[in-house]
Amino acid sequence: MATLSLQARATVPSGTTTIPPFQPPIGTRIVVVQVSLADILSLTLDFSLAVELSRDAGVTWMAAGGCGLSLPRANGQLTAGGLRVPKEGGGDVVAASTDLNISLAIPTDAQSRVRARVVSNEAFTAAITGVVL
Amino acid sequence: MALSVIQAANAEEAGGDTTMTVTLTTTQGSLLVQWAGQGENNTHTWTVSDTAVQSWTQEAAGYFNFDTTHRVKADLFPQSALVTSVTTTFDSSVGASQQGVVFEIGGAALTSPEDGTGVTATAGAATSLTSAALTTTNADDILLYGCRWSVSVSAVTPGATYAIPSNGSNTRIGMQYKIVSSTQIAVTTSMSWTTAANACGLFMAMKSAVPITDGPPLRVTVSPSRW
Repeated sequence: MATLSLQARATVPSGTTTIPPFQPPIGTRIVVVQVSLADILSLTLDFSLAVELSRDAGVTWMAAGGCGLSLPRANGQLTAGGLRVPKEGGGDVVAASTDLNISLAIPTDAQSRVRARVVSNEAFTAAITGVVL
Repeated sequence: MALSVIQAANAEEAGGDTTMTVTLTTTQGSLLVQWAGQGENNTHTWTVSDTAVQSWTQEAAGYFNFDTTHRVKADLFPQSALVTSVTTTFDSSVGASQQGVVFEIGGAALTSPEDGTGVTATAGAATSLTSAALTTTNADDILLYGCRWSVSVSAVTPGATYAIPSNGSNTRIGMQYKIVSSTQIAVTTSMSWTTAANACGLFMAMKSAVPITDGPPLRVTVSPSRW
């Protein structure tokens, strides 16, 4: 398992932000990308996170998975500690991050690269972390 | 017979149950696919059967989890007999709710219907989930993408060009489909909903039945004959 700080805690501008490509260890089958939520206080923020995979050292890219969060539609409560998400058995928990975890149909090789893109409707502060398994 | 979703049905059981039953009456010969999950932990196992006492096969990706709190998988049975319900039996009482959705699919391959292995994605605190990338080897397939949510959601919306059939979702689980006629290379799809939830998604493909082709026309030559 390798953990990579793809972007230290910083402002993610509105629009599309591309997290530069990185080379995962050969044989990686799972890619996890996390966007921290602790600094998000805006109820009007929408953002999506997409992970792209290259099998030719970054020449061409294809979608590998993604997720999104639209806070205005959430019943979860947004507090200074982050987004409160209901638990399965009742109550709620503070979600420290939006975690995306995707499986790769074919393990990575020496030519594989991974990059992430964040698309948001307004600027927000977050750290972005990658984990490869 | 071309690929089609004949019908869908779903169920949700409250915590404390060891079984979950999805009620639907199918026609003989269909492929049945169940997408199901439970929210107690990442260790429960379960098997699927039906009123025809058929033992279902686990989809090739098998179980996958969202951290330690919920677990999902799909099961299938090709060329099924007529059944009136599908029952999931858990290894022990599940202390949280369980959900399942069953698709009856016509025109699917009669044996080994899955095209490759399903790919998985999970997301925490999300209102949409884009699948992992799926590649197929067979041209005529039905693509299935199921999502399960940790909490009740609403306004479940399939990805572009996909459809959720009637009864193909409830507030905790859903599955969408698309019928394709060419091989798929690293395709993805997505599903969205309201309410931030922890979500699991499985993207898989099932093959069409091999069409029965007519042989060469029979030629009959009648020659004059004499007794």
